Amino acid sequence: MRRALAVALALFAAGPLSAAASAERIVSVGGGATEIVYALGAGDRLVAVDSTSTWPAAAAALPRVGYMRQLAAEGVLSMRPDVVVATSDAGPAPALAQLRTAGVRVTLLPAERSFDALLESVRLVAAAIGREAAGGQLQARLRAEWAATQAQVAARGGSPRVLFVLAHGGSAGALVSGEGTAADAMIRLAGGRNALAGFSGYKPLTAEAGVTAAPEVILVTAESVAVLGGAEKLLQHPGLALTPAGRAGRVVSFEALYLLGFGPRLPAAVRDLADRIHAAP
Amino acid sequence: MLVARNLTVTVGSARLLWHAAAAVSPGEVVVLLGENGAGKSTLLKVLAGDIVPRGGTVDLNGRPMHLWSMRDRALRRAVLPQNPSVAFGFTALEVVLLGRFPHGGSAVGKIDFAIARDALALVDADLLESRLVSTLSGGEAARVHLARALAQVWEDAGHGARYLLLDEPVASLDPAHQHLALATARSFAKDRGVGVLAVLHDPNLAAQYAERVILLKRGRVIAQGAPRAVLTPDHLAECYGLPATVVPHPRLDVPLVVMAP
Amino acid sequence: MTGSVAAPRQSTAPRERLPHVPGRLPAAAALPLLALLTLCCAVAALGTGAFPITPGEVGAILAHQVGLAGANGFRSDQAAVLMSIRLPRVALGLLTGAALALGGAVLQGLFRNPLADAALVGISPGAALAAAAVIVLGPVLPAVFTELGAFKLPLAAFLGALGTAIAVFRLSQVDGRSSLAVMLLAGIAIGALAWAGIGFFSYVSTEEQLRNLTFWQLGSLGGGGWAIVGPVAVLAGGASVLLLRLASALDAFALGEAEARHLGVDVQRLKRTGVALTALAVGAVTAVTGIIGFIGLVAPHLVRLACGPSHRVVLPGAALAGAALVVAADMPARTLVAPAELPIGVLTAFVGAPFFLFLLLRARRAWTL
Repeated sequence: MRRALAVALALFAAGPLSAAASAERIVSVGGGATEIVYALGAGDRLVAVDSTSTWPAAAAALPRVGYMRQLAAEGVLSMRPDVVVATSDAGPAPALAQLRTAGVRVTLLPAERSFDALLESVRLVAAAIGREAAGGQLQARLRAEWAATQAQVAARGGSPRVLFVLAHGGSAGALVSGEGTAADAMIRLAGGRNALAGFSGYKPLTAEAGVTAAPEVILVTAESVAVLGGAEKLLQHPGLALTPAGRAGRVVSFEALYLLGFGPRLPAAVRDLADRIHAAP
Repeated sequence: MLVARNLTVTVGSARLLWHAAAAVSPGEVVVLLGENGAGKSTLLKVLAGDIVPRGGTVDLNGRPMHLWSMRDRALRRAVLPQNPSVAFGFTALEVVLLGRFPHGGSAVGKIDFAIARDALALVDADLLESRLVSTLSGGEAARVHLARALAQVWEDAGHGARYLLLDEPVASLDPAHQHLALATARSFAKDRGVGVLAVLHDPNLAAQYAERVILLKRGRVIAQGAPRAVLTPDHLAECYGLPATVVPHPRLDVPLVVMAP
Repeated sequence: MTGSVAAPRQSTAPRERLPHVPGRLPAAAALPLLALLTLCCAVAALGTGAFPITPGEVGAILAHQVGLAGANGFRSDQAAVLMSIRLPRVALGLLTGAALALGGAVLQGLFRNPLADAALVGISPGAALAAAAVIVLGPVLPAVFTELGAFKLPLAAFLGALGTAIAVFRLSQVDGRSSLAVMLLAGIAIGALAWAGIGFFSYVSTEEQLRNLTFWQLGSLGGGGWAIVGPVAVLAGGASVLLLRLASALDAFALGEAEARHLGVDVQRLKRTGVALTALAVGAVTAVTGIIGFIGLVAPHLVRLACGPSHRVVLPGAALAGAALVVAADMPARTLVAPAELPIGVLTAFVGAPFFLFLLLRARRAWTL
């Protein structure tokens, strides 16, 4: 069996000699990774994506290999990929190992949520699919956009207190974000302050937590709003109704992938977020 | 011999047996009589090795009971409990075959099948062999379980004397089958040298089939010996709390007991 | 119909074999049939999957592997998929089905109840609780745990299963003997405690952890290749082989504990061994596959329906039937939403739960099983 794998590996490697140069078939796992592939102009080479790859619309039309944390090795292999690009959340680890053993090049992107990590991700994806030139161009474009964004954010005064609320329909109800999450990073990048400090990760939203946090703005994803039954329901939550944001009705909502994906739309997302949280009530 | 001496069995502060004694010799039929709660089942369980008495001794074939392993006990004595039952849908023959377990564990041989069938025939249940025990009437099922106990000590396998302990074996049987069962037990004793101890409620059955009768009252033995000597109006009145008359049986050479309030 | 009472009579059936019982398949026919069925399911499963491999190519690859033929008639990537993805998966499926079914059958024998199952004695909830703890507490666990990498979940689940089984067993000891009724209640209580713990972990988990936990609880055979299947085979396979040997003692046990003792069965040892081996077998596979339900109920039941209740047939028969069921259920799991996969626990529940209800309806009237 080892011999069969070695043979397969050799054939995969020896086949198209410069596999990197002409990686014809790409599978992308993770919304952010998929956006990068499209931004590099290689969207036509995507053969399948995971269920979190919802943008652009063309991606939504591709076959799905399942949820990014529960990939089926054989399912991915049936798409005959030359390369798999995946965010760090992809799994399970044995499935990725089986893909590698079958000779597919699996590129994992860094887990950190930052602009530098985005540049690195672009570099890795471009190298994996043989579009280094496009990668360099994309990086340059992103740097320019980022500089403009940072200038705009700095120009705004004030540092509004923002509370990020997540509701995925689980038994925990609504959760709020502390430090170290993607949402926390976005709030800081947009010139705001996380209304909650002193813990990392998520914790359940209680009335006391909300009142202590006293946010001026409530940040949510469009998906969470839908789970909660609408913005009005959200504001009626005991943890939020008594906060400044709740009384003023200041709810800012974005699509989850746009807000938290840390893909090539990051500069635009930070700009939009800064606009909305700094806007006069 | 299976013999118990000077037994004391207590549960909490209740005395189930008090200085009680009983013995069964190979080839004899002993019957335990007494009212409900007199300690008959307790005495049988002590003889079976189920209960370790607080005081007194129990010996099986000359050796203390606690020195025998479970399997060695199973090769020498079979027990028919009150209200026997079996889970799942076993057939009558399968239940009787379970009685052969001590003799071979997982290996069921031809001889086991033959013995099981003969045991069923002996209790007049051979036509029931493929029936599910759960579909049989109470009396039919009781006979099947009796056959199982018989099969367990059927033959002399070189382990010494064997014993059959029957706890109210005829409670659910019609008169004809009551006699069949006890006649079978007696022939087991006479022809195969098995020592039989049976707990019964009917003194007349004891009169007909026992060599020795033991009367129990509140955990004590109040009389024991041949039926003619033990089944007297005084003993019976003391044992059951009912006035009793004893007359000669019209046909058989045994006493006939009549009790009425 | 019984005749004259006086003289014993000879039976007319053939003397040395069990007579034909109407409605039952004799063991000599049933076990080979089941083995054949299991083999067919395994072969079909090898030929099923998202990756296109024709039966002919499957045959060619296997023939080449055992040295019967040369390396032609298939592509090397097909061989890689078959040998390092599908074959270990089918092997895991067979092991899982056999272990779950055997554990269920043995527990049913020990409880003398056809509805007993590993979930009732706290084994499955114990495994699930340990897995939940590892998933949610992951970052907080001592460094030695993270060393184990992909093995920490299987190891934790196995220890959890064993832990709850031992706790339940100890709780049920009364005067040095274990009471099965108390064991059942203790199992339900410990199970409820475990599920409360799982609920707690779900509550404090992050979204990502919750997803992992949910998927684990739904069950999947995609846990890995030979590196994982190997240890599971040794543990679960070894325990299963030992479980098979309890068959005739379990038959005697059907008469009740006291009667089994009268027949020379070491009842305490039987209970202890049965529960421990079941915990080992079920825990070892659950650790890798997550919770796959109803196999321990359905497989023994089907065999009892067809062949009667003798454990000498039910134990090996259930093992074969369970293996076939899991492998068969995995086929739609892998193909219905290809290239994604359905959790297999969902499929076994979809089929198993209605079947279980049907059994209850039947059993209400006549508890003959």
